[in-house]
Amino acid sequence: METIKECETLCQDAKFISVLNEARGQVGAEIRAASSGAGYDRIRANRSMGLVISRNGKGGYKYSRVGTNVMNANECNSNNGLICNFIAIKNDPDAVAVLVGAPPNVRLESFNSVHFMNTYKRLSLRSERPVFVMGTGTNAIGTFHVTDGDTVTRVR
Amino acid sequence: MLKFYKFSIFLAILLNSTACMAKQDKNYNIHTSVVHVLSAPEQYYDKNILIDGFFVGYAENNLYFSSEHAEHMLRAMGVNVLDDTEENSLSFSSCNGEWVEMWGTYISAVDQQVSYFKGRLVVDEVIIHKTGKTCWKRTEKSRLKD
Repeated sequence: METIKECETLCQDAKFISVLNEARGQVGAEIRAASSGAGYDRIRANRSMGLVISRNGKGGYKYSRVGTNVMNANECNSNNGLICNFIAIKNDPDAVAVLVGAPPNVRLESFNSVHFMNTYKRLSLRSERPVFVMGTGTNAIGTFHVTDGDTVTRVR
Repeated sequence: MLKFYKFSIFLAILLNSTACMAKQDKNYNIHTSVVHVLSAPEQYYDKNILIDGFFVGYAENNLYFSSEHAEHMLRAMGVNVLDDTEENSLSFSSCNGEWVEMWGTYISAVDQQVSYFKGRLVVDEVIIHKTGKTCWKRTEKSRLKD
């Protein structure tokens, strides 16, 4: 199987891919819900959201709560489930990757723009982790990109 | 016939003045800056404001304090701008990458579990400083304000 340069060893790990796919469903559902219908909310409507995938200490992976803070290379490090203590993703030794969903009004054409991809490249550089970007809008739904801060590859 | 014309002109003037009054109902009388909004967001909640900054769209719409902050995408020094148009028209407008003046309503958007940002700007109109021309204007009412 051909390896993906941006996440060489990580993307070979079946457990990681399994959690990544599960997390994609979670991010997609929350983004769509926040931008339409009864779930429309003022914090998250038409905004990029994401989560952090990290090691769970049992040889597997887990993913964090979906939020907008990921775009700023921060994650909610909540110990009691109530109060967020934001920490930089790069300072979390267990964090292995970042998954971000573009808002539904971002179409496939936007993914080709230099600025758009630079946003995620920069996020990857700041978090020092590979960033997976999924589309949720017209034509973009189902698309998946990965960047290591240097290059971007469309995975599907 | 002359009476009819006079009445038509009177009616047109009346309707025009009513429309102008309706437009004037919304006052953007708070002229502020990105720094003020970031430092004391609660002062601006649900208020119509005029705010200057450097706008960058595409992946996320933010009004930055300066072009340098925008270049490095330092979101902590920017106000998030809601583009709730279906076609993402604000992001793709000529306002992108320009110093602009935004007219809109700053709404509270606070949930510590989700984001540490305190609010968003629901923008009505954007004017480019360089040309003084409107580069984007809301055509549909936002779901997030009255």
